[in-house]
Amino acid sequence: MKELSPEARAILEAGRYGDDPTPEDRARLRATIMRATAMGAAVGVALTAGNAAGGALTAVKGAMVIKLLTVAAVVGAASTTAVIAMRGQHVTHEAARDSTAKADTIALEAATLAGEEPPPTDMLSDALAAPATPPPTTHAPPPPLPATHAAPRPRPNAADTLEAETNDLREAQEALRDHDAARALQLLDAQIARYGRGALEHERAAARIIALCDLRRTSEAKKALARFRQAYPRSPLLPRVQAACAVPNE
Amino acid sequence: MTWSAETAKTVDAPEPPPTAQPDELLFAHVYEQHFDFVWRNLRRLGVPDAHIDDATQDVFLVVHRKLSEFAGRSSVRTWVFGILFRVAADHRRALRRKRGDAQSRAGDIDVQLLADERNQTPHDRFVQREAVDFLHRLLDSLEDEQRAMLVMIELEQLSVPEAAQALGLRLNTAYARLRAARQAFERAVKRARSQSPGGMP
Repeated sequence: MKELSPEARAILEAGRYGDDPTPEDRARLRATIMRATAMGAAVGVALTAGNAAGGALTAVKGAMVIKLLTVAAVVGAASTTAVIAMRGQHVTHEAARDSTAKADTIALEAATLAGEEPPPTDMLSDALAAPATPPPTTHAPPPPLPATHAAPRPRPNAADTLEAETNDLREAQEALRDHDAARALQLLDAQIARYGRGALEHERAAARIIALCDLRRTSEAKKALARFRQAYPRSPLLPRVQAACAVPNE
Repeated sequence: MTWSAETAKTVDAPEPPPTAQPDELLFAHVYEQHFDFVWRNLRRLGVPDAHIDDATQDVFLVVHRKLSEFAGRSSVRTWVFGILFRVAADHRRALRRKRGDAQSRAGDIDVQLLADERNQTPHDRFVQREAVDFLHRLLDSLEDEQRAMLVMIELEQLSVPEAAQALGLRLNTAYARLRAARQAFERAVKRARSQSPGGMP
């Protein structure tokens, strides 16, 4: 087959580069697309699960989607965490097919697949019912509630709380991206005081370590990382946190 | 930063990206691996800048919906190109209906979009932008399939069998389209040269 002339090839070569997205394009579209695909999955789940488990289950799954997406947003571990988001969606799909699935079971499965330590079975219930003030430092976990009993629990503000927590965490993340680690740390500490364990405790802890490293508060960062590794030994955020803090060849 | 080598040694190395076939089929991995590919080729296939976000989102929504049906008969890249080719055609068609004529993306480009991570100087960016604009104008003169063949084979270095799979063509037909695409491109270059006797970008 006849090849292109040198002139035509030179034109192609000269124009080969310059069409790639900028980092801003990547960031903007990632958020939009992940949200759009998650919404699609969540809608599908809601439709499937609606008759079986009622609104509470739908809310829980929505919360899980937000949480899993937030993982991706928080420390930018996009590839790994987005895979996790996908797995999380898959789990919720699977669970939705089971008309007897319990909300806390879904949370447990999703978190386990996400590489976290299995949370207490009441974790999601607590997260959804999280008060605006720090919870008591010690409280006995209530027994898991069956799905049929989940609806009467007081959850009217759960989505709002999670959304607020997500927004707050995003603000801290933006400060980190802007290289304002001091402000990020200040925001994160305020959020820890406000939300306590909260639904995004894991992500907040990761962001806090990165902020400490950025501030070169090495000793505190090491201790925080050690606690993080102990609490979340299989965390998908761990490699990202370590990469952000470790300086090879130093 | 005094985060020491000692610490660096004690922490595990970041996990490599998943490469196994099952992971490749996961949407997020496909997204991460192919986002730039989708973005730049939508532009090369004539989607105006103002529509790139929407078109990119459309591509990945289709990928998300169809991923479970992907049978692995082609590479993921080839499969994704087939999707983006159709999405680009849809967007161009919609624009033609809306504006009454084919919309060239040349002139829509915000120079800032070309400011990338390569730390080019403003002059470099200008020259690059000129070259990209010029190439896009030439590509605009080709038929859709010819344009896609040229983009896949000459710019993305896919093989002809891969390009045939992406467009759902028989191999012989793909070779014929590539031949026609190259001829059409050469004609476009000649036309441009005749219209710009002072020299092309």
